[in-house]
Amino acid sequence: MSSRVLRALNDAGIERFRAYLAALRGGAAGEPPRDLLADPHCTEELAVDVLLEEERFAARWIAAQYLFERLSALPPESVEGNRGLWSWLALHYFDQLSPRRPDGSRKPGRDYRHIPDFGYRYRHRHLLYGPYAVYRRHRAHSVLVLSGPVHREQSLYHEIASRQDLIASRGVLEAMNLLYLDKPRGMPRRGAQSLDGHPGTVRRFVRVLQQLDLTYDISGMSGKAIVDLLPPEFDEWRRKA
Amino acid sequence: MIRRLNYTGRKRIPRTRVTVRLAPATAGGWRFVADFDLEGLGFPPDASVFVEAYNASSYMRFAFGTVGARAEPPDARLRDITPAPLPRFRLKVVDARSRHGLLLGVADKLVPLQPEDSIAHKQSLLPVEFRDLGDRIWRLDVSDWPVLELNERVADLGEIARSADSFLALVYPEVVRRILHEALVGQEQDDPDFDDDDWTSLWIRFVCGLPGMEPPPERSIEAGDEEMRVRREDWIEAAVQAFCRARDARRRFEQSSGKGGA
Repeated sequence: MSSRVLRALNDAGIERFRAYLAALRGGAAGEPPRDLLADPHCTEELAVDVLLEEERFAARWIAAQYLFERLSALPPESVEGNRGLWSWLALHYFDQLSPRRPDGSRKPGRDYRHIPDFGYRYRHRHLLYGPYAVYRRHRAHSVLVLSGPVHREQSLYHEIASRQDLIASRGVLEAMNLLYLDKPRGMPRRGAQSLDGHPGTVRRFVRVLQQLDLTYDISGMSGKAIVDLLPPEFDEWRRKA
Repeated sequence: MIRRLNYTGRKRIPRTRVTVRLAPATAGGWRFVADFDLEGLGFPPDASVFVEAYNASSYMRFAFGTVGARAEPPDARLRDITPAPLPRFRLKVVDARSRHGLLLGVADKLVPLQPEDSIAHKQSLLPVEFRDLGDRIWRLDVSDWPVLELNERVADLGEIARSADSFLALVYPEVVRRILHEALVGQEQDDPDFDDDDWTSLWIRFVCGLPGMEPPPERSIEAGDEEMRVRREDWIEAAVQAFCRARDARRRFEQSSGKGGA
């Protein structure tokens, strides 16, 4: 297994990575520009040498845990908000973030999935920074929210990660795990993410919590207390908890 | 964004009753000092008081004793708060006797004073933060209280934003337009007196104070959603014009670009 010392792409490196993403979206089939990763003209050194393996991550939370452990050696201010570092990481793990499809093509999606946009709308959409930020805050409680392969965001991740008040609350994540986590599989229970108006789904959970948050100190509650507070439409899920 | 209504009788704690100030921690990073006055607001003396610090990617909660017996937290360092963006604060009064903590009062979206800020900065309509925005010069964050983000990599941008005529003429009208759009169209808030602590009310009030501006169109039974949206967007456009007129934006821009007359 090969390893590399983590660096940060500079402006020139980011632009070349961005151009590669645009070319992929335009139908090109080239390999990722991995030469950038160690190119002194396109990268900058970091304060501390951090060695990264070519790990294969079985789930988003595993990637987040790995990065959390590795990046803990760096000063926090050089990790948070560092576009170059997170862009470098996305390029380093590009085969997992944008895997080849059966026809050989790649579908990288929007730039912010690989080159972070730290504005409020898209900061959680970076495929590595988003999970890292949730894991850093909630550690093992983030298994459900960060379930699934690294290149795919579960809809429950979207529902919760885009709402600052909810993703901040440990109790909310505990409650979601109680209701919706299929523990043996480490994945959401069947139907939890349904969009067809089924009662008690994750989408309804979020809507109900937003209302309860006006009346109760949700951020001070345990997951069990939140589950107890939910209306009867959640009974089906509560029975499985 | 869906506007949520508070039917619970929960009290809003006036923003003027709370001040949060950041201070450097001895071991690096930030700590905070919270000053609040809950006298006369009708809270039971044994209700618990909490201050929460949060930003887009981190959160901390501090217990401050009760309404009747305030107790400072032993450690007010913001150790789990990421260096950026600048945190906001929330003060909560909670009835801890109830099985589920009932929220009795809240002051939300409190912008902390920086160590060098005077108290006059406390209620800034448009706080400014410096961030690495890549190749962008500025960005508006309306996820909470509106914040103008300026690119920290551009030299003297803070001074340019404060005093350059070209920046005023090119950037601020768009900032005003987008903030009003979020308030009126995004949050469907059209009442300047809705809430003295809510940024939507304060911004609409600010615009209503510009010469020639009327209050925004109110929702009427006859007007459908589409018609209301059009009326509100027309009002926003008039508000941007009024802002530019009040700030003399065109003349200042022309002069700054060397095209102005005497």
